[in-house]
Formats: sequence, C-alpha cells, structure tokens
Amino acid sequence: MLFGVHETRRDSARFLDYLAAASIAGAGYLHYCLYIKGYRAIPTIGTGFLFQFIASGIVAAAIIIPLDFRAHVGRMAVSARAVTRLGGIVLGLGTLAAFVLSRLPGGLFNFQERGLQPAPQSLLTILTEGAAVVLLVAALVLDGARRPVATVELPVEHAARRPRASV
Amino acid sequence: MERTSAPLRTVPSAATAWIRAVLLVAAAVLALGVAPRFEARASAAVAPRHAQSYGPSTPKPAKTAHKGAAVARAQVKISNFKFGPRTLTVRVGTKVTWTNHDAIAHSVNFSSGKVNSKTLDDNATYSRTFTTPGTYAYICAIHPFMHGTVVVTA
Repeated sequence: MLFGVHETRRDSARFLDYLAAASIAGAGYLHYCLYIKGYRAIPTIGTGFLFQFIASGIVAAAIIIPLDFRAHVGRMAVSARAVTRLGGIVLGLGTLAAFVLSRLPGGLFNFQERGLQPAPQSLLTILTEGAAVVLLVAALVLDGARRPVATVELPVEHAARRPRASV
Repeated sequence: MERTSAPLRTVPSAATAWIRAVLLVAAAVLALGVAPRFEARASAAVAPRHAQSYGPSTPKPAKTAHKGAAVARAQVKISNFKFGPRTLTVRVGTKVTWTNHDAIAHSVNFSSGKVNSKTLDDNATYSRTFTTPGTYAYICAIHPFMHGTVVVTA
C-alpha cells in the first residue's frame, strides 16, 4: 500500500516534469522567434535571447531524460533529477526577472520595453515560465515527500536486527 | 530467508550517458541557433538596411526634404530598433512619413505629447505635416531608448 502511494507520487512528479519541460521549451521557442524577428540587433539583449533559447533546450532535455544517480558533494548526496529541476526553476525565475527589469525605468542593459509588448509573445512567455516554475517546485515537493520513507537503504547489520514482520 | 542486496548502480555509466545526451541536444540546439546568423549575413549582403549596426549612433548629416514638389515629403525608417535618420531637417510644410521595417511594433510619440502615432506594426506607416518651425523630439513609446528628432526650418 505504502509502496503504491510512493509510486503514484513519483509518477505524478515525472508527469509534472514533462509538463514543465514542455513549458520551458515553449518559452525558449518564443525567445528564438523574437531573436529572429529583430531582437538580435540589440546588443547584449539579442545575445541574451539566443542564450535563453539554447539554455531552454538543454534544461528541457535534461528534465525529461530519466536520471537516476546521485552526485556526492562532501557529505551531501545531490540527486541529478533535483539539480535539473532546480536548473529549470533558476532559468524560469531568471527570465521573469529579466522581463521585469526591462520594464523598469532604468531598463536592462540600456534596453527598455513597455507593458506586454511584444504581443502576444510577452504574455505567453510569462505564462509558460511561471507554469514551469510552479510545476518544477511541485515535482520537487512530491519527490521530497516520497524519499525519506521508502528509499533509505539500511546496512545489512541494521537490517538483521530489525524485527521481522509476521506473515 | 537470506536478504539479497540490491544490485549496485554503476554511477559513472549513468552519468556518462546523461552527459552524452545533454551534449547531443546542446549541439543540435546550437546548430539551430547559429543557422539564422548565417542567413542574416547572406541577406545583409543583398539588403544593405540589415547591415546597419545598432547602438549609440554618431551624428549623421541632416537629411533635407525634396525641393520643388507640391508637398515636400521626407521619410524616416524604423529599423533594427532605431530611427533613421535619427535627426531629420525639413522645411515648413513638409510631410514626414515614418515606416516600421521591424517585425516588432513601434510608435512615434512626440515630447509635446499632443500628436502621437498609434502602434505601428510591421510595414505600417505614420505621417505628420510640420507647419511650424522648431525642433520636434520624439521617442518610441514601447521602446523609450529609441530617440529621434525632426528639425523644421522656415
């Protein structure tokens, strides 16, 4: 029963991953279209749009690739899947932050834009990036809720001391 | 029943597979991203207006409207997020037309705030006839870093 619940949570987390990857890829495509449409002529901002597109492709691919290993950094074990999800969250929040900064009086790298222009790409980007962040946070929470109970592997000597469940 | 240990996962092989997959995707994405640049370079050779560089433009010689026509006319191109020429000098009575050559919407908004264009989409135009001498500064309201000036002489 418990195993089933955890499996469902893991499947749900993977489903959220797929949706988030699609959102990130969509936002990247929107940036690519704007880059082609003319943003490539703007110094730094044009390069930023191209970088956003490339980063979106890499992060979206990394999220959907089944990763099942952990990297050990000192005493910490970091799940590769968690790293890719965090990468997606950072990319989404970074894109949204850049959007907001470009609407402020100081602009971003001397570039300024007003409102939800260019339409409808601006609004679509906000929606897709926002959705990606929410979905990836939800996936992290779902996986985090599953891990402490079911995936802890006890050493053999500890396992031998465990009382056996009566059949 | 003797407890059998779970098979150990070979971490290096999984990591290598992941890195390979990411590198493959990165290469494909890079190829997609770089291709339009070559296309842009090719088109720049054919159409010089794409070859214009962006940035703080150096003052260009002022452009004067044609003389002798019944109604003098002058053109301002909106291209690559800038007005060209940035400073236009015309005589009183000249009709100035702005044409948006960008695929991104722009506008022409004068600092006086009284006369402004609507949002200009791709290839849309806006015209204004200047009947009073003076200096008319304007910006794109959507991209306020885009500046232009029309100098009207008597």
